[in-house]
Amino acid sequence: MDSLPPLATGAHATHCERCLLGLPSSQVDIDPSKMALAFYCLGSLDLTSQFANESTKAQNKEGWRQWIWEQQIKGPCGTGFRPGNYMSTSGEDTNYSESSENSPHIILTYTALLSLAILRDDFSQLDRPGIIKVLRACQNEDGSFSSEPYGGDADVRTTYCAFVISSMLDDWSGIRLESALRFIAGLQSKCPLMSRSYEGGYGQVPFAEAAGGPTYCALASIYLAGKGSCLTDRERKQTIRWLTQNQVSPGGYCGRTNKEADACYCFWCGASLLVRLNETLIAAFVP
Amino acid sequence: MEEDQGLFADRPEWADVVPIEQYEGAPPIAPIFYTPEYKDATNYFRGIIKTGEKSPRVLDLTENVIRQNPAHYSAWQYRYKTLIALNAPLDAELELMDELAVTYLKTYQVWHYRRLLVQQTNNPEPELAFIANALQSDAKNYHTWSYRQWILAHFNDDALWRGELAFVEHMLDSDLRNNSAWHHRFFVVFQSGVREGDEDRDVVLRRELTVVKTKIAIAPSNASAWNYLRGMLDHSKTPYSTLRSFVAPYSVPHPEQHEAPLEMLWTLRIPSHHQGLNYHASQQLNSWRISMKPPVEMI
Repeated sequence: MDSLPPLATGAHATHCERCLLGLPSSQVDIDPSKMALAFYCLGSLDLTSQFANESTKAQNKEGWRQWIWEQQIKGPCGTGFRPGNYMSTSGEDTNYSESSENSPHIILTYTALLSLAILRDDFSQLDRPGIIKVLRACQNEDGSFSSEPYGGDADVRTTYCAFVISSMLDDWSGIRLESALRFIAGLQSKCPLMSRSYEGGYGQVPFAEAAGGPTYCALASIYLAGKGSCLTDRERKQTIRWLTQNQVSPGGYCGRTNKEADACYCFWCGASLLVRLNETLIAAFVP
Repeated sequence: MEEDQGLFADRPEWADVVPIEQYEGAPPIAPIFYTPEYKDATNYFRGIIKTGEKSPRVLDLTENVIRQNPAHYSAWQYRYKTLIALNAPLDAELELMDELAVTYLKTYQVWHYRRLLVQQTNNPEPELAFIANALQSDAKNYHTWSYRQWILAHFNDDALWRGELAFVEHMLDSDLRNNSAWHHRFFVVFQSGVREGDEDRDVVLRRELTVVKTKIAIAPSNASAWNYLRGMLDHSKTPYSTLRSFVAPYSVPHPEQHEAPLEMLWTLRIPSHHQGLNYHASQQLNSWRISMKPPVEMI
């Protein structure tokens, strides 16, 4: 294979910093997931060592932290982070809101906590019991989690975020673990509702096609909960087979059988293989 | 579709609503430079939320916001609450959604909202035709297929299931490598209970074997078909070795694994588009006796 051009680290970092400064009106659909965008940008800046070598001004970092904390919102169902202030009408609602239009969101709570960690926050302002409470409020009868306490879509992405939050806070009391796992994997019980597919990957919701992103979310959740041993050897091999089959020429991964390769699936499928502790297998794919 | 009537701030019928600007506290991360039209509509939307108004004009307003930003979660949510509060005709709403869903095919909110509506109307039947139509513009769209599976499983009505196999056949006819269609076939045949006429599972299994073998013969490198075959054998606990004579022509003996059990060997040979990448991998995978040498395409 021809040698690849060097990664334009500096240019990527500049791009991320520019996004944090502002986005054009064409990006308006980012508003309800602003906290996720923040996480991607801050994560990229951290990975490109922009924080370590002090090239990012301390003043910026302080401002970002402040903004993220401003999105921590309490409500009757508990505490969490909201997407941003796009529905915010005054300074008051930054502390407490009963409005379902201005409520905490599980996926964005996950990205907020990670962003704060990237900014080396000490988490002294975190309402831990409130967050556990909101997880409890979001879990549905079938074991899945809605993205918000007042409803919203429920799939393995939300389950994954709920599991990571519990793991980071080292407190699993907000989750009914058995039913959450049943939603993902069926786990030896003959459960009709499960996201695992006959191909060996996992779908985003029960009965859906195996796809890279949900597979990572499902596997990472199972392993974060310390339940890896619940998967049979056969299931494990079937999953690894499907994941490796998703690698297509000249090396990228596709997210579903017979689809085109895409950079994001290199992450989801690659990370899934890592979760299954198959570093040697991945190493074999590195040219 | 709503006609362009200019800014809400200029409309007399909105004069009684106090628009509320978005509050900015700490210097915002990634502020979006909104267009004047978007600022205007969302200012009025925040104003409406504050008073809790649920009236027909809120439907105009939320449609306006959604058309400018289909990902605006709160606008969808509030629109739904307003519809229910007004006891508005949901069939008309679904018609509007037919247009929006196809325009914003990849937006989560569109599909979530549609589920809420159909649960209210309790009339899933027109949905199958709508989905078939949506799949014409994107035959592998994940949301669309999941929605079809949800409709079938949630309402679980015999009349709904009746045409599914023919539908899958139709989708596979236009693209034999459409994995979403293969997945749907597995869902319909094996995962969702036993349909009328399919009570004899041996007959079903033989029928599916014939189907998949025929389709493999047409395109031997089609990973979707092989995965389906494995899936159905696993599901029915049929030993792989029963297919030795079918698989053999598509296989080459593994150089070091003459004695390997067939279960292991025939994994393999599958998708030819993996050719080239996987020499190192196949070395590594030897422990599972997976050979990735491509089979000969028959077409």
